[in-house]
Amino acid sequence: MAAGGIKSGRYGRVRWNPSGTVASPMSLAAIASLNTWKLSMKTNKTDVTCFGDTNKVYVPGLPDISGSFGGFWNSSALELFTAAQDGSSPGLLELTPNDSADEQDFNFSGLGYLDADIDVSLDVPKVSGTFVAAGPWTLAT
Amino acid sequence: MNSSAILNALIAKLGADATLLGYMPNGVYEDNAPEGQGMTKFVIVSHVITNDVDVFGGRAYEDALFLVEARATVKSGGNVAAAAAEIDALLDPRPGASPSRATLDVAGYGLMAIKREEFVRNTERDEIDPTIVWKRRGGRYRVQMVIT
Repeated sequence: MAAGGIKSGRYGRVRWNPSGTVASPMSLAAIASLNTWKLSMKTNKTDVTCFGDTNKVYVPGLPDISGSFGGFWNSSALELFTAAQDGSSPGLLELTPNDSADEQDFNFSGLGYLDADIDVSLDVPKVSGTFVAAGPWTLAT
Repeated sequence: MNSSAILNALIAKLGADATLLGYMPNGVYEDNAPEGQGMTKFVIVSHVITNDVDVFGGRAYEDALFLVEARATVKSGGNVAAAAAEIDALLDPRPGASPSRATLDVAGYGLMAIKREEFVRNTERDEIDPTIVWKRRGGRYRVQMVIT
């Protein structure tokens, strides 16, 4: 088993283009001061179990794309809140597990709607956000 | 980044305060004061631990804890309580004080916050000369510095 493809998340990256323009190459800017992101790709399943079945049976619906990210409040980088403020128009979101030269082509991207939260306590203020798809998503490899 | 510069800046800040030096005229030192009979009233700054906090791509800030104590022999009459209060006024000013927030200039860093987390008060006998009794007063101060 080749484990060479396992990389550190320290060099993860979240990039965003508020205009939502999908072009090649994509014009994206990193959202600063983030240290976590999560993408969920789940397909809704409908229970179609019938009399006589010996186990539950499902049929798949459409795959869903959603996720979240988090980090620290940075007054010099307000992209996340600007995107959330403009929540009715989708932007282009790109999520990269590791942006090292040999890895940065592996990423997930697509149009999405962003929401943002800020959590301020006596500790360092933290930000978080969620997103849902606003169009088809791709996994670039 | 030179993480050592943070402790050096703390020593420089405390060592530049005339009021503190009035209470503790022998100066401010890292871990140990120089030996000598006249060394009876001084301030010690010791590094406890620094945690590095990352964001994607690298370190975002350093979260350090320092022990800062005024130390004086009982015989010297050194006022460690007043010295500790001055240390606290310099590093963790009360709301409404002027200035209301501490400053700390360190190349490559920006100050996020300094706050006292624990008050420290001890009396102990000198290990070499048990006739000497030391008073120690100060606190553990958390210093958070963002990488600039």
